[in-house]
Amino acid sequence: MKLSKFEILKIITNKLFIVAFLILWVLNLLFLNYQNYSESKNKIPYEAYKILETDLLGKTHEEKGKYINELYERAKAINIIYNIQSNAKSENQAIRDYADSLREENKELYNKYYEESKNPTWKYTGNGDTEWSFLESIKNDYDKVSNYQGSLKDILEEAETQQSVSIFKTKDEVSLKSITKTADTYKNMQSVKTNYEIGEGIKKISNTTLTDFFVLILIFIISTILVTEEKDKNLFTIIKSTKNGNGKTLMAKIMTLFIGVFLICSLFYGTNYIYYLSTLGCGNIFATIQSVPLLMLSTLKINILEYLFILFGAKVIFVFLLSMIMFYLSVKFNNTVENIFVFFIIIIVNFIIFQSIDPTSSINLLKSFNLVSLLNTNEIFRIYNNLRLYNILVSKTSTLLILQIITIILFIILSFIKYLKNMNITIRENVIWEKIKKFKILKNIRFKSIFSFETYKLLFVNRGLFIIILFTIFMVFNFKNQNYNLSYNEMFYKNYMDILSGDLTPEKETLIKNTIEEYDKAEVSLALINERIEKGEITNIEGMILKGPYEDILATRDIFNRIEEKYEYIKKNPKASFVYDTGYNKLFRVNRNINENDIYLIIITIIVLTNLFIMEYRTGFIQILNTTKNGRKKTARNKVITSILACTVIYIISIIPEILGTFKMHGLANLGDSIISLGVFNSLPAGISILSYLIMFYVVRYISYILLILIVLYISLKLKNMVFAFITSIFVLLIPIIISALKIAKSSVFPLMNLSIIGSNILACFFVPSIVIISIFLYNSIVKKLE
Amino acid sequence: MLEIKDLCKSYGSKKVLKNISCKLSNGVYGLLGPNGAGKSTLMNIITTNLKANSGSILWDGKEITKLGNDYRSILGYMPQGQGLYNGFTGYMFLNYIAVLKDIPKNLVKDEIKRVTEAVNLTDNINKKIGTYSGGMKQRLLIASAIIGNPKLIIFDEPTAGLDPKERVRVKKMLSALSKDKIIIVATHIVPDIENMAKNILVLKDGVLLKETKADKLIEQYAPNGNLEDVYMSIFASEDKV
Repeated sequence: MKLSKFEILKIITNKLFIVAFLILWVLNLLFLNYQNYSESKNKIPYEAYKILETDLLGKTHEEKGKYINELYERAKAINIIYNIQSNAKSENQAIRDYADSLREENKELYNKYYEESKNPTWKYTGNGDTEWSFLESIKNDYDKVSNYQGSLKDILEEAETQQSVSIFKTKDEVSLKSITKTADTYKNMQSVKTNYEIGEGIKKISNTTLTDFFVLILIFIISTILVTEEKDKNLFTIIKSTKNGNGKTLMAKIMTLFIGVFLICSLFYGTNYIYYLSTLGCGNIFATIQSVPLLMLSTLKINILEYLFILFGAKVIFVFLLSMIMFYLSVKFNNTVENIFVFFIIIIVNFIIFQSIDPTSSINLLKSFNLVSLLNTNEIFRIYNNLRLYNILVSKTSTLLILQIITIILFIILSFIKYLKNMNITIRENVIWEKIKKFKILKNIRFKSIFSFETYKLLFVNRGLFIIILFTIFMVFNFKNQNYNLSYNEMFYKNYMDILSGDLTPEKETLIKNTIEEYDKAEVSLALINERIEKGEITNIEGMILKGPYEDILATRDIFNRIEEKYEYIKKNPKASFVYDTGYNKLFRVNRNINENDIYLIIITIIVLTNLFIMEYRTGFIQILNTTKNGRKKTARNKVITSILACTVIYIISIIPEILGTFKMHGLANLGDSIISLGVFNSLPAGISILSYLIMFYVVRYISYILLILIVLYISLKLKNMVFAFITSIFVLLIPIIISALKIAKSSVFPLMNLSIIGSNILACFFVPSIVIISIFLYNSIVKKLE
Repeated sequence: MLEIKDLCKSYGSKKVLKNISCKLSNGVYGLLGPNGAGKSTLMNIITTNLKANSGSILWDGKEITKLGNDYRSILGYMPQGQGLYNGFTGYMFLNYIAVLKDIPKNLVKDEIKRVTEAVNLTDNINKKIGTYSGGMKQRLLIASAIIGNPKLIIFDEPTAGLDPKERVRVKKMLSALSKDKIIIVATHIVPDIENMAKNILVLKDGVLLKETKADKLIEQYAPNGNLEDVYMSIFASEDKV
């Protein structure tokens, strides 16, 4: 324990940790607050849940149902009254008739709420439409929980059917056993009583991606401080030579790591708990977790409070597992770059396994016991599942927790073995690379220029080539595993747009008008059939038969709205033409704040470049570089050029699958048509073709990417510390994308550094000069720094 | 000719070098001084790794800061730390230094051969630096400092980590090299410079105490002893403190 005290001191006195901790904690708070603010503006405000939560407190399940139904009925009725009033004013006789039939259909509600509809108050959301959708979702959730016993019965019946019906007999024995086991588990749940709880706070608490990201950064810093930094400073030569410097020191470090994980989780997830429960309300925390819609199918017989503790405990176990992996890698590898690199490979391998294994496969355990899957801790408890490892069936919840603990113990043992037996106590250059280095051809190559040496350093000493090859394999794998099938609606849209493709002609106009008319007729016919059912002229079943053809017609109504909007747009903008735009919208990231390829691109760039300048400082070679004629400006310039060239390859690797995938799925038709044919680009000059804009888009993104390259190089040159530089680069480059992806802030925030949005609108063109100016400034700063 | 004029350097309020002045011509110069005397700072300023606060250093009458790369092309430096790329072979490393020093391409091969022989690394020159022993790395660094035949070479502890045989070899090599160039050797191993140093520069608390021949120093501070006794005599007070 005495030793742990010193290990803790090392962490809490470390500037990097203190600064990172404070920044991330404040950012987490800002994120929570901003999420509340932005959601309040667009969706249902947090306050609505809290007020309703308070209103429902102390009521029985039935009382809650009555209260919610009344609220829902009122909101629905007032909205219908508005609808009737607006349709009644239409010039179209059919719509006016529809309004009349609607009024007739809802006569009772109309009369009951007519007076109130003149000046209604909306207690929860302040807005009629939002209140209706809010209460509708609450009512649906309530109905779901009310039908808890029914849901259990369905599960049991389905299990029975699957076991008895011959068609399912084709399933293997283990699958059938799994069905029986699941049914038995749910049978035990029949005694559980439910009393509906909104549980919006619990839903939010269960899904905290950004907080997870912050926590990961902090535990990475801690494991680095505990091992890598000491190696860097040659402190292990002293520590390992002392009586307590071996087993006891390692134990103290692991204990400190656990304490660190526990405290960080408490502070970060604890803040989330407090924030969400206080803003969204927590209801009755002693109700069974099956009372919360999200957790209804969980088989844990616990209350909400217990669940929150268990969820926190599971999160701590998972974070500690991750930190133990990081810790072991720090002990194993003598180089921070290798450490980070191997960790990323582990994550990528986990991601590939997670993506490629089918949930019903005989090795589905690997899909669940996977770092990517475990990150979503809530999933361990949310629903009962059996995991199978070939013929062995195990319960998901307990197995995943036990396996995590076993893996932690395994990594502790491995760390001990490595630390006590043969740990290299000082930092060395790339061990992995030395092991892969069998390229004898390279051994005696006579390089003749600074450029060739810098390229060699980047690609081989810094193992950039290896990373690029791995990245290529990953992208190819990812590309091959994507689903390129179009949905029914998308197929309809594509076919229709293919027919309309090109300029608006009278024939096309007639076709559109006819289709609209067909939809209108179908809508009126449906309303009339409903009216006949209401009046009792026909039975429900007869009605259903009659409605069938009209419902078929109307199935594509929503998607046709897009075509109709296009038609209206082209009428107003004659230079625009009909273009099937889904693929282009994807490529141009229209309404998409994030593209995972951009994240991969940034991470790979940081891994490849961070060490390039730092290696000269870490090895002390900078002292020699500085005294040579070409060791300063020329070396810096060549480092930058080499970096840009290597990253250009990475950039191309990252965009090719995206373009090919879009082409495969949607095709890239009408490339020669004006860019204004894509509605979002209506402010651009009509003379620019889609192809020209596509090229421009990728050029702008490339220019912006060069800025990111220079930022990474500048940060590494400025900080001269691998861990510092790596974290700072990740922070500076990824945070803008994450913030915009999570819709914490508008896309216009940090646009220059956000590859996912740069170039997706006209504004990007205005950014180019600023990007170029900042890039030149950074380039000069980098060269000057070495000059 | 290297001339140092009233050189001063401070880190914050701490003065590390105080008005250092001396003139150096061809030959080996021993730079002596205890830890913290300012040796590394002085070497870093001469090698343009650091900038002085005031004063100047002239090479053939011209300020080295103004000469820039022209000055660096006559400079060879071997720092104390073994800043090497383990992934490079010895040959590749020397080739890299040759490119950094802008040695004409047609001369590089012969130069590498010459310096490799001088430091006795010929047999291992195509091996990866990662496989080198400490002594071999040290010799490679010496080779990197002398490649291109620079006029001014600065060595920081060149014999540290070498076995006695190699130490003698290096000392002989430095003496032979010094005929047409200035060599500054900073070291704690006083006997290493005793026989080969033309003059000894003694630094204490940032002040250049002496710049004189070794025998004169011995005569003044330890008439019946050697340079080590001189060192002990000059810096004895520090131990008492």
